[in-house]
Order: sequence, then structure tokens, then C-alpha cells
Amino acid sequence: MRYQCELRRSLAVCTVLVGLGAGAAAAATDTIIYARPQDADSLDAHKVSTTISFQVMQQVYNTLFSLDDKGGIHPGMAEKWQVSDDGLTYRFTMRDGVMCHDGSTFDAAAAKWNFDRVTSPETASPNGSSYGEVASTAVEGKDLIVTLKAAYSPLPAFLGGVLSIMMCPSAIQGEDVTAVGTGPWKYVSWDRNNELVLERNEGYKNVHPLIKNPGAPYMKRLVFKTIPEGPARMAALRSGEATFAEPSLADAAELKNDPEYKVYTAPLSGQQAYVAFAHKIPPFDDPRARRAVGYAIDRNACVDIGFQGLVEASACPIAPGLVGHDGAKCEEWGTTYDPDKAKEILAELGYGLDKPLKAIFSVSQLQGWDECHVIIQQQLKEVGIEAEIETRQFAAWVDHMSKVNDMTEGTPTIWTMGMSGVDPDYLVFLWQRPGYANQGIEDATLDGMLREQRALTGEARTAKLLDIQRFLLENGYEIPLFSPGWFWLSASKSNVDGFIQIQVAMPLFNDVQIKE
Amino acid sequence: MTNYIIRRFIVAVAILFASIIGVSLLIHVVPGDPVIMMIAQNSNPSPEQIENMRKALGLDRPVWEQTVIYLGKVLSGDLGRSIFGSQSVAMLLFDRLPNTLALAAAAMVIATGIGLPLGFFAAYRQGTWIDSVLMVGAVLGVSIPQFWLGLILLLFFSLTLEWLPVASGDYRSLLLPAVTLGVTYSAIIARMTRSAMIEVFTEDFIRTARAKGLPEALVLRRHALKPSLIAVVTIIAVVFGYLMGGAVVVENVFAWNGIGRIALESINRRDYPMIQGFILVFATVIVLISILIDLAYAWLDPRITYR
Repeated sequence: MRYQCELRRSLAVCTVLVGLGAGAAAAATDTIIYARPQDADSLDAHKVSTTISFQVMQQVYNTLFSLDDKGGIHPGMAEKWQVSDDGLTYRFTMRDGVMCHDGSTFDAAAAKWNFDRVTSPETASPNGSSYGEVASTAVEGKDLIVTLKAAYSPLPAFLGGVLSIMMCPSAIQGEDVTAVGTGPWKYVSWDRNNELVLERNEGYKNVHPLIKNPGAPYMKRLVFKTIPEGPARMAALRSGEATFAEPSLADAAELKNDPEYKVYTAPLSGQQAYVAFAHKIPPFDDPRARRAVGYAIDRNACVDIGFQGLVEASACPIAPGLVGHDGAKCEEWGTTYDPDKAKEILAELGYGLDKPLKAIFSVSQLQGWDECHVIIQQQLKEVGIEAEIETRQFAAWVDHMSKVNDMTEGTPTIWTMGMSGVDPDYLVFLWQRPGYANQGIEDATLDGMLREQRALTGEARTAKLLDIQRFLLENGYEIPLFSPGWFWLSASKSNVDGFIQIQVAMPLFNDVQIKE
Repeated sequence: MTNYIIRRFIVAVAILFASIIGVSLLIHVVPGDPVIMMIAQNSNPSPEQIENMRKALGLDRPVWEQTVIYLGKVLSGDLGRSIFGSQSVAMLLFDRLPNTLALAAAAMVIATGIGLPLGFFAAYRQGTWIDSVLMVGAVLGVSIPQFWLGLILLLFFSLTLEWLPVASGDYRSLLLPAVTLGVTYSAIIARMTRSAMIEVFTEDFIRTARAKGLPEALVLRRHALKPSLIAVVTIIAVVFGYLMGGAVVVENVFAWNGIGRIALESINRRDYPMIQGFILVFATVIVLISILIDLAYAWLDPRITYR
């Protein structure tokens, strides 16, 4: 009797739970659910610069140009551009028939509104620098005319990147944003920190060279779902509750060997990870000491063991896929793994296995980097550098390194960092004084080259960018490691096709189809 | 009584102001710059543009001045706008506060539903093997990390059994986080209830009641349970505070859309107005609960009067 009673109770509990779980089934096959750890901050393209926000805005808004897999510039909302001989005046001709989601036309006046708002000091946009130093803007028929205070040749490339994404003017009403754009997906609703729902823009006409589908996306809805914890995201992917999920490095390594799943990296991300130094503190004020560290590091060990082959070794300060990246030349100018050479140089400087150079290895918390840091620490130890790893949360790390990079004496410090972009102009941000976290170099030659590349185009600019990289590598200021390395992994079940990630690890869903 | 309530509210407001000033100063002691965090991922502004951003956000002013400005805004009902995304802090927090309160309340029901009877029973059987087993269980319950228990429950019920969604965002998603929090804190409630009850069981009036020949059930219900309620209410109030704090971790594991998650993210990114707003809302909830508990004492025990 008692057993019957227990059985009945268990069945009742099961019935309740099954009832509750009626919605735990897989997502509808006309809906893409993209599970990621954080939600967008805002859909005001001029006010945010986080990757997680751009991942959504890339779907709703559009850019004046689009970039192919080699960084080549193609039409977007503008069909072409002309630049004056002095590089100061740009004329952008708008493409006909580009429609906003609210039915208005995206024309030269709308593009002007974006330029004016994002470069206004009142907006205080983190993305304002992408547009160069704008002196004035004007509209002439189908053309937007932008006059700059100083030549800025990366402008067309930046206008093809997500940082310069453009909203329709009706998107902004006072302090409210209504996410009206011209992109392939239309805004439907947003329950902040939970889910953001988009539906396909039926009238969309694609001109992006990396998208095959000429019209509206194949799938009806696109939902960005926030699931902070990695294991929970994986559970959502495995149960079919999510179509795509951002996996942890360990999960990605496991899934890539599972035929039921696909793992996507972002080879076009424009991300470049590297080792650098507090280069005013001896002995790293000496290029020989910096290069010795370069010879000690086997970047392939980081790639193969630390990152399970999910990133590519990269020997250039400029990331693969960007103008100026030339792996062969960078290997020639920089350092490749040669521990004997590292020991030889360190011996010249008075260090060795019996008299090690004691240093700090200052790093920030990033997914998957811990193992790489330990590998580097071990490699350094093998040549006579005892580096103690100090890990800080990113905000605290930047604060710490901003102080250490300005010091001229103290404990020698080696650190790791990464940068991304759609154009190698980020070298200015990193290496021109003061530079990010004060890493900039006080050197007139480098300063001159960084300035000059902005006034050059085509092969002349490429040559100048190579000169800059040669300077950084020969002097050992930067030891490039790999590309990409953050926000770069996605996974889906193997019945999903057509997903790609483009520059700055932006996902594109236009071609996505889910096979039954 | 009215005077007491007024005095209590004045003290509450003073506590809130002290917490605002405290947190406004402390967040600037922690290393990290929100503007640098904002530009860290993609953009590459010039030093002048960075300075302009800092100025627009008011971060170029001395800390004391920023604190005074913030206090002024709070007095006029404005909690400011977030640094990341320029959203209304009040809107971001108050949209999510009901979710956190719902989670804390559901967990509280589970925690008291399990903890109170177990604590009561352990005290009643003090010194027996039942007491030992229950208290070992309580120690285990307190010791289990919430994120671990949460993930185990999630993987079992959502992935293995497929009974519950991983993150539906609706009431079905409340069950597992509430159980995770509730089970952990039921252990605390059980231990605290046991201590309170053991004290009550040694009181003269219990011995007298038994000596009068009252049935044991009546002794327990009428004479033992009611006097211990004051201690239990105090325990519940303390545990509710813990639950609100614990929700920060559990909300993250279960993607429950409460203020704990947004707080964690804001702290990592040094979004000062969001952190200040979170502390203010959190402190307000705790202070209000403490006032309600004080009032509940008087209701439960007529001997308690407030002047």
C-alpha cells in the first residue's frame, strides 16, 4: 500500500514537471536562436563600442560599404566614393533604393545625420575616431561630401566596418532608440538581459560580397538569447533550445570532434594577440632583451596546446586579412622559436639558467589564455627568465599596466594584449604616445610613419604599414602570437548551414538554413 | 508606535545616504576606468577623444564633486544613466527588481518549508542520531557551492531529463534557481531554528505544560512554537538578505533576469551609475525588510512595545 502511494506521488511529480517542461522542446525551425554570455548595452550605434552590442546592430543596421575576405571595399548603402588629391575631401555616392525599416529612404541626408551625430562632442561617441577628424559635411544630390581636417585614408575601410554602422535618423527620438535601420533583420522586441527578437526584412536586397543570399534572410526570426554561464549555454545548444551558442574553449575543442556539431572560428576577425613589454624598465629597454623573449616563445605551442588549434599562429602586428599583413616578411623581421639564440642573447646581457632574469608576467583574464600564459612562462624559464604570472581582472589590469608602462625602473614586466579592427590604423592607437595603457613608444621615426600611413593609399600605404611592422618587430617591441582570440567561437548542430563570422567577429545570418 | 516608525524611517534614510556616499567613494578606490573599458574592444580614439568622453560622463570631476552631484540627482528621483549604453539606471534596475524579489521569495518559501520543520525536529530529538543526521545534512547544505548545485540541477533536469527549459525566462525558469537557493539556505534556517528551539525547550513553561499533562503535540504547537516565532522571524529576515545576495550568483547560472546579474556585469565593467543604483536599491530592500521585521515583533509578542 505504501509503495503504491509512493509510486502515485512520483507519477504526480513527473506529470507536473513534464507539464512545466512542455516548452523545453527545440526552437521552431524558422527561428535562429543565438545564445551568448551577455546582452547588448544599447542599440544606439553611436554610443556603444562593445562587440556584444555590435553583434546585434550588424543585423539591424548597415554600413556605407562592405568588406570582402581580403579587406577589399565593396558597395554597401553607398555605391562608390571619390577622394580629392590632398586626401581631405571625400564624395560618397549613395545607392538608390536603400529603404529604412519604417519605409523612409536612406539617402545622403541620412548618412550626413550619422556623420554629424557621431562626431559631435555632445555625443561623446567611443566610435567617433573611425570617421577621422571631420571638418564639415554637406549633401549634393545623391552625394555626401565630407571634408576632413587631416588626411585619413582608412576612412572608406572603416565605413565598411561595424564601428561605422549607420542608423536611420528616425531611430533616435530624444534619448530613446527605436532601432530603425536598413539591415537584413528588423527589430521586434527586447526584454533586456533575456532576449532580443528580430524578424527578417522581407524587402532586403543584399550587396555584401560575403553573403550569397541575394534577398531577405532564409529564416523568419532571429533571437539573441542571453545565457551567462558556459555550461548552461552548452545545455541549451545540446537540447536544441539554441541554434547557436558561444562555447568555452574546452567545449569547442570537444564539439569540433563530434560529427553532430559544427564549430565556427572567425578567421576574418582582424584580432591580433601579442606579447609586449614595459619597455622603459631595464633590461627590456634594450631591444636585445625583448627579442630574446621573442626567440624563447613558440607561438605554435600556444596555438596547438593552449588554444586546441582553434586559433592561427600569426607573426605580424597587423592581423591576417587586413591590409599590410605579410606573414613571410614578418617572420623574416621578427623572432621565431629559437631557444638557443635566446640563451645566447641573455648570456650577453648577463643572464642565464644559473642567474635567471626575474620578471613579472602581467596578464588579464581572457577565456583560453591561461594555458597559453603558463606555456609561455615555462618557455621563458627554459632560457633563464623566471616570470611570475600576475592575473588581474581586465579593468584592473589596464589600470595597473598604464602605471607600469610609464615607469623607468622597477621589476621587468612582460605582458599580453590583443587588438582588433577592420583597418590596421589601430597601430596608431596602440603605439603612438601615449598609446593604449600607455604602451606608446617615444620615437620620432615611428610617429612619422604612423602619421604618414594615414595620408597614403594603395601600395604606398601598404609599404608604409610594412615599414611600421618592421620597426616594431626588429626592435622587439611586439612579439605577435596568434589570431583571433576573444569572442571568436560559435557552435551549432551539424544540420545548420550558411553561418559566417566576418571582421571584428561579427556573425551573419542571412545565409543560415536549418535542415529538418 | 507612530513615533517609533517615523524615527525608524529617518534612520533608514540616513543609512541609505551613508551607503550611497560609501559606495560612491569606494568604487573610485577600485582600480579600473570605465572609459578605457568602453573603448577596449574595438574603437581606437585619440587621447583628446578619450578626454572628451570622460568629460561628457562627468568623470573628469573630483570624486567628492561626483558624489555630491549624484546625491543631488538621487534626491530629485534620478538615478542617472549607465555608462555603457546610456540607459536609464532606474529603468534597468526596476524592470528586473521584481524578478529578483520573486526568486528570493520563492527560494524563501522552499528554504523555510524545508529548514523550519527539520530544525524543529532536530531540536525536539536533540542528541539522538536523527539530530546528528539532520545537522550533518545541514552542514553539507551550507557547504555546497550554489553555482555547482545550480549547474548539476540544470544539466540533470534540462539536458538529461529535458523536463525544464535551460533559459525560457518565464515562471518555469524560476523553479531550479529557487530550489538551488532554497536548498542551500534551508540548511542555515534548519541550524538556526534548531538553536532557537533548544533554548525554548529548556524554558520553565514547557516543563509546566508537560507537568500539567497536556498532550505533547499541544505542548509543541501552542507552547513551544509560538515563543520561538520571534527568533524564526529574525532568522527569516537575515536569510532574506542572504538570498538577495545569493541571487547574484544563481541568476547568472540560470540566466534569470534579475538585478544580481546586471550588478555583476556592471562591477566588472566599472559602470559607476549602475553600481551606485544597484547598491541603493539593494540597501533599500534590506532596510525596508528590517523595518517590517521590527513591526512584526510587536505583532507576534504583545509584550514588545515601541516608544
